[in-house]
Amino acid sequence: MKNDLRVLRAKRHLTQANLAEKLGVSRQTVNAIETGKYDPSLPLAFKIARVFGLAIEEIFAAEDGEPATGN
Amino acid sequence: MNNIPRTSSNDDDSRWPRSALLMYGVFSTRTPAGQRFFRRCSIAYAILILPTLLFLIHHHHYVARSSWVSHGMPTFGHATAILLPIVCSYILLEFRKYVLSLDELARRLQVEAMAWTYASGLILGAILCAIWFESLGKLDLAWFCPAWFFLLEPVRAGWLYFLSRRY
Repeated sequence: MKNDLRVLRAKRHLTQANLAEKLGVSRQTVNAIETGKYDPSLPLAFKIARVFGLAIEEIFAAEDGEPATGN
Repeated sequence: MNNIPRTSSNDDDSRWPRSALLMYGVFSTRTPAGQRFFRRCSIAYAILILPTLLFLIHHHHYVARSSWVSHGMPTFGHATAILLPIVCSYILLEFRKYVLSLDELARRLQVEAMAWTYASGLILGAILCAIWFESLGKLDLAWFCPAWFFLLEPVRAGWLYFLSRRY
C-alpha cells in the first residue's frame, strides 16, 4: 500500500515525533508507514485520517489502484 | 511524490536503538513501560539467579546424597524448584504487560520475535539434547529446562533486533 503521509505531515510542519505523539504510536512506526514498509491497522489508519481531516482513501491507496491525492 | 517538503533530519534516524534491543530485548528502556519492565525483571532475576546458581553448583552433591529426597524435609532444592516457576511466571506476566503497552508495530515485532524464538528453541534444544545424550549417554533435564528459559532470552533479543531492521 502506498500513502502520502510524508507529504501531508510536512505540509502541516509536523515532525515524525509530533505525528507519532498525536497518534499514540512510536516515531519508528510513523517512519515505517511513511516508507511503505508497514501497513497500519484499520483503527490506526482512521486515526491518521482524523489527524489530517481527510478520508482514509485520500491518504492510502493500493499499489495497483488509484494514487492517494494527498490534498 | 517528488515535491516532498524537507522535514527534520532526525526523521531519517528512525530505527529502534540497537543497545536496548540486544541487551534487554526491549525497544527502549527510556519509556515508562520499558523502564518498568526492565526494573521489575532485574529484581526478579536477582531473586532467582543467586539461589539457582547455588542450586546448580550443589545439585549433583544433593542428588548423590539423596538428602533432598530421603529426609522428607523442605530443602534448598525444593525451595528453588518452587521459586523458579513463580519468578518465571512473574517475568512472563510483566512481559505481557510490557507487550500490551506497545504500539501495533512494536507489538507485532515482539510477537514475531517470540514465535521465531520458540521455533529456534525447539530446534536448538533438540540438537543440544541429541549431542548431550550421545556424549554422556543420559540427559539431565533438572537444570537444563530452567537454564533454557534464560539461554533463550538472548536468542529472542537477537531475533527482535533482526526483525526490527526490516522497518
